[in-house]
Amino acid sequence: MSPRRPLLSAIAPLVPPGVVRVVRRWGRPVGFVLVNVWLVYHLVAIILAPWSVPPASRLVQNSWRAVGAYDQLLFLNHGYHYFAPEPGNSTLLSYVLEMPDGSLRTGRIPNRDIHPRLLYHRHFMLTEYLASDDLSPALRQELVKAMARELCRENQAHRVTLSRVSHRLPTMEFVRAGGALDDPESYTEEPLGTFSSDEL
Amino acid sequence: MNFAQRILQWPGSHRLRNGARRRALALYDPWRQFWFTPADPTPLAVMRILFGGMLLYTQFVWGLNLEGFVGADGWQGSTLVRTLQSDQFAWSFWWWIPHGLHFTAHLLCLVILTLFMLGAYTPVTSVLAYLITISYSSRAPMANYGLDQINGLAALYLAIGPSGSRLSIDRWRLRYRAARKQFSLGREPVVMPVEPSARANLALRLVQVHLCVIYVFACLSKLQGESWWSGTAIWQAVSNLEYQSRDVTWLAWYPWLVNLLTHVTIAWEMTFWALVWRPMLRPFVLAVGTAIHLGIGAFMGMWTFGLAVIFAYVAFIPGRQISAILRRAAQLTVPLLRSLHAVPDSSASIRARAAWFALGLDTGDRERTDREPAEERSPSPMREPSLVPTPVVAEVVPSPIAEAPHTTVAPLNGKSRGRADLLPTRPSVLLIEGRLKRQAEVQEYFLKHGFRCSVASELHQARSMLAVIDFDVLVVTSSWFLEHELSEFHDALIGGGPALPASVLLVGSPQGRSDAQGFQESPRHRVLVGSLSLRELRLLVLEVLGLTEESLAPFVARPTRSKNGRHPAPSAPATVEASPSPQPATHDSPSVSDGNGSPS
Repeated sequence: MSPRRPLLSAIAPLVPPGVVRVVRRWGRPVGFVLVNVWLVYHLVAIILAPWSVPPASRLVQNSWRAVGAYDQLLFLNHGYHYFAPEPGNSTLLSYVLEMPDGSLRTGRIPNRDIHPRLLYHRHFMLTEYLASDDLSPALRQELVKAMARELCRENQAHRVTLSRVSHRLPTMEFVRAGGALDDPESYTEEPLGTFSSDEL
Repeated sequence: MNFAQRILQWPGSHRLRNGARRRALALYDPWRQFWFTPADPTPLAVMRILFGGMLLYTQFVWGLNLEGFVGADGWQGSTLVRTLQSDQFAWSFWWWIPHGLHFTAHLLCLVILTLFMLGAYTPVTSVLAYLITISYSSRAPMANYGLDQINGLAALYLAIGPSGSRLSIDRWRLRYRAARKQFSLGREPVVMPVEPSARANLALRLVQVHLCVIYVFACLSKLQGESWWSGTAIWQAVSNLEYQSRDVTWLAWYPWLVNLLTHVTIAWEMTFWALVWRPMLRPFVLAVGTAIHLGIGAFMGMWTFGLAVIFAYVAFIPGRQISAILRRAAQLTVPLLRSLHAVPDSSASIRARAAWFALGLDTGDRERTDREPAEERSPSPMREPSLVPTPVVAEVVPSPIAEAPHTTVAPLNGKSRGRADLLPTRPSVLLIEGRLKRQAEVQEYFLKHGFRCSVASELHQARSMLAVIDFDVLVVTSSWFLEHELSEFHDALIGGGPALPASVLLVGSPQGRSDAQGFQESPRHRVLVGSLSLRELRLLVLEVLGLTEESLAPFVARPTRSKNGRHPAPSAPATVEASPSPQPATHDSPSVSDGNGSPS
């Protein structure tokens, strides 16, 4: 029996003729209808996912509830807001590690020493999340703690002091006037706290 | 009698119902054609290779700091992510893998992704690749960005479509086995095409439409920002030191260029969804998109994201163009390999020759891959062994982009052997009829009269069946098909010569087709207008096959009995008619409606 033969033909001798007739009569149309219904639902889902990102109307946000689970389950729940509403300042994480021998080690995430570039971007997205509106203060604090814990683990450090660094974007006028992209004045630091590896 | 029954019995209601049905079909048909017209799976195969490589690299990079990204105490601790996703349905298998097995699981994922990229066990590995992709991304949601979104949707649609049907190890193995068998029988192996597939079209369409959705919302969200209106957004993007991979601060001295690039980006995103469907504009739209995303890679260091989007553009490239490029590449490769004596000659072992054949470089997959001859799949004692086939009908691969009017001319791939030497046996009929009830009636009639009879509702379904199963004659009784589609199908049948089955077409439709003009006829291919009784149809089928009723006598079923065994069971309705208008009752039994629901 060819594997490409219709399933019904394959099982026809095994089932009563009445069943075969019913399956033949309804099986294909039902399957086709189901595929079409799924297709419409899928299209609605992939449209409502970005549409429901605030600011969105109550109608759209409520409509999203009908497809939200599907979107999340299939990893389709994205806003596609690339550099939108506009390219913003960068957020970085600055740290000072206290090593077991008492020495201090400073650094910033992301840094150009992280290779390959994709890994650099992963770290950059992590620090960008520190400025995300999606996080409640409690969750943001949890994220900071997780970052402190990971830095201590990676570097075998006793303590770590973290700061959130915001890097302002330069204007064209500033650059034309001789300003550099890494001008120290364009960085703003906000302390996040000091964390001991024992407490984390 | 209730109101509904009265309405149904009103003489005009039948016409109204038929009219509504026709209108519904007219509305549905563009949708069906757009999503379900069988398409060449080659673009999907190319996307599988490209995205397979991208998924492999992406997951490999996660692994460079695996504990940092998926470990319970990593950058995104499990408590943090679980809290973040507490009201979501996002899932990841990483939650269920013990800490000690993380690296093993990661290696296993890389192996699966490698198999997927190479096209091994693709029906399974494509689904696993998708699950792997979303598992990594969902476990580390705070480190995600556009790349993960594109990877996710591509992996989903590659799992939906037959992405391993070409350019894959699966394909190679199929060809290898068939070629080895043929070589061992002393025959030249058969190259048979891959049929266009509705699933391939569905997957390609989903990629295309999803890209349109992405660009629409990417544009709309940008238009909420001032800098995209003032024309400075591109400056802000490329002057971001953390993104920047090349110094482009010289743009500060060319603000007009910054403005222009910003406006072009917005205009392109705004119009992508509309212009990309225009065949004349598509290359331009895709070229601009490619330039933009190469720019994102070159100047902002996001090569992976830029390339992933460009890979997705492959869904917009017609399969025939990709096949032409592949053929050209094969033509350049084969002489080189021959000069290196890397091509097995006729004295080489069967395995070596089959392995070389399976690569498809000699044929360049011109006739698009193969399958085992049908008699190996469904051995039939009635059939002679397969002979070396004659060439199949010229291939016309439907573009994944629907043109208006969209025409699908899939190649008709018959078992290419002379059919005269197969007869007289129990002839096999492929009935192409869209009406289920009519299918059953005609099929039952043919079965009762010594034929084997399969049915197909659509022409493309018939094409697929022809590539797999041997038929002696095609009978088209449905008039649902567009005239040009039916005509092309019929021409392809005739053009296939004796390799393809004989045919009987009953034409006539409400679209004004009232004669057989435009249809070639030959002794093996008959075209009739109007209605025929089932007996006349059967005799006509016998005629085109060169058979007589007596030759089928051994196969004719004995008369069936009613339940009590005393009286013969009632026979099936005795006429078929392809004309939309009711024909005068010239037969000894009532006529039946045509495929468009014309009155009985």
